[in-house]
Amino acid sequence: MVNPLTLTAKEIAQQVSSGSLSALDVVELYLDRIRRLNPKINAFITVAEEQARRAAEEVDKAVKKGFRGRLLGVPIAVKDVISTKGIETTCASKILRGYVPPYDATVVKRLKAEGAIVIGKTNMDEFAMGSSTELSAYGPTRNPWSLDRVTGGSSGGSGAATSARMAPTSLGSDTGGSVRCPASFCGIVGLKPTYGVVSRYGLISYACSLEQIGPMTVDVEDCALLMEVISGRDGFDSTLIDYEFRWSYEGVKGLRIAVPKEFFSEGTDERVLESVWRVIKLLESNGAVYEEVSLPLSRYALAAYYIIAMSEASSNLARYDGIRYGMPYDPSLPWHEAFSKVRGEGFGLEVKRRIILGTFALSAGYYGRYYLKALKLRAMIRDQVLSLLKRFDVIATPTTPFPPFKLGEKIEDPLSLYMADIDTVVANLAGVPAISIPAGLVDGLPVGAQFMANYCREDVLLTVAKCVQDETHFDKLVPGVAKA
Amino acid sequence: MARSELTITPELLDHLSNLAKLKLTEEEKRIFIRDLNRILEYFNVIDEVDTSGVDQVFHILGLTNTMREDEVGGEPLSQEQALSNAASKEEGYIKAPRMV
Repeated sequence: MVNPLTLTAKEIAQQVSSGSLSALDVVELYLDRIRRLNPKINAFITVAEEQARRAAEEVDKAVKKGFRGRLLGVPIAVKDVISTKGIETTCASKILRGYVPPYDATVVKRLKAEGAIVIGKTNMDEFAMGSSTELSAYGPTRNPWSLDRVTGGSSGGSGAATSARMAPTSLGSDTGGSVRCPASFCGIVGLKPTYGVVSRYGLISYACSLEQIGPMTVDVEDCALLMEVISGRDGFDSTLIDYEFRWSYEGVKGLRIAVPKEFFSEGTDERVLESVWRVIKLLESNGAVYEEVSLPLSRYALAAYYIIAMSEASSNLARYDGIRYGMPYDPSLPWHEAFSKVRGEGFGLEVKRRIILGTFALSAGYYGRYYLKALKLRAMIRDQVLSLLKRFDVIATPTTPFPPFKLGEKIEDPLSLYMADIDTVVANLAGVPAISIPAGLVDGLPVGAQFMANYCREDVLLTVAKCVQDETHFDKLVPGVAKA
Repeated sequence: MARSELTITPELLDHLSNLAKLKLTEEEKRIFIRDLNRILEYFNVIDEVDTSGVDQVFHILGLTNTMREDEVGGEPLSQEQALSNAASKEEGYIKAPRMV
């Protein structure tokens, strides 16, 4: 029998393709794990039990007729911000409870076309606004490494599901670190692609100019496999650039690593810094070279990021009025009261906070001072990042300034929660790709190392990740709860 | 924080909540007056940077208009599918609240 603790997506696809495993066997294996583990972890908002079984039977039938795909029979946990035809998609919000999308997001369509199976929809911070997956209308997700700790966010359900092997792979979305932060806290790999290489069609919008869907996996080659399938042109997203994903691993010899001192300063937990340095030295011992540099404008990245994200959010979330989908409006009220009421009751506190601040930053009298100023800063930060990437192949930083924290620890203080994104937002502002890879355990809790690269150079990031995986076998790290 | 130093006063908060069509409870207003001013204080760090002469960026890679043939792409939704999530509908139309 196969061992789900070590099984990769690639191996599943091979075994289903050769006939030694059926897609239905694979789906039942993971559904059983979800049944046992999810009550403790709350990684899934919806387990698509029936749909997944039906899809698996279809795949098995197709395989018998000769159908082959790169993800044959591979279960995928999909963040609940990504539209899935016929499967409830809530964005972890009360306002979208009961919403069943009539179409698939492009990424989901592409995964299915390769034989992958959506096994469920994962928990998240409401509308992807958060860094801990505590801000969900469906309760917080618990970190498989320590059930009293957060998973990071906002894609914490995908992080936890993958880490606890309730699914071999998953998708998240990353607006300011929402794939990388939970990847770091859950001890897995998370990739935020270059802006404009993965279609956002069917991704429920939070801040369109910043976000991308990205793979979250245990294994680096699985990450590459998902990236290969989900990326590329799509007539339904006009912000996409020409892109073809290609990667072959040839080691890190001669790789130039920039280590910006601002990310290694006193504000960051020392044990996190030690872990990241160990990864950098490991790459050095494999032939890479590193140099300490400066990225002075990074000091302003978090503020610029939040101003832009909240502004876009206030505009994007105007669509929730109770008319076309989601929580219904009260027909006895005049329109403005009906809208205010449904939005007041449907949105959670943090979502409201961001809508109000975004409305403020875009309002007459403050637009220039906040929103436009932040857009200009964004251009300056991008230019500083790109000028570093002329001399270096990658920029190395911690993924987060601290290890996973306790549930409830930061929830009363929004600013302290925003600080979790301080190292990740630079990549979203600059639009460059970034990856978080496991950098070991601190007191039994995973921490991540982040690498950024130039536009469309996801291949370099995967090369770095593969080297570290081969040396440290981080893919063999399994939280205790998942072994039971 | 003294009231005179607040950027977001209770009056401005009411105005914003009206602009955003977002009803807030008294408790939420109390929390927001506290939090939003603290957050703005943090945002004000951007004042330290001289951004004069810098162009603001909308698409980070500088992409502008992307055109395609004006044709229906993929499989369009049926009327029934498109309306499937609306709570209130009549004869193939979505019913909105009274405007006048």
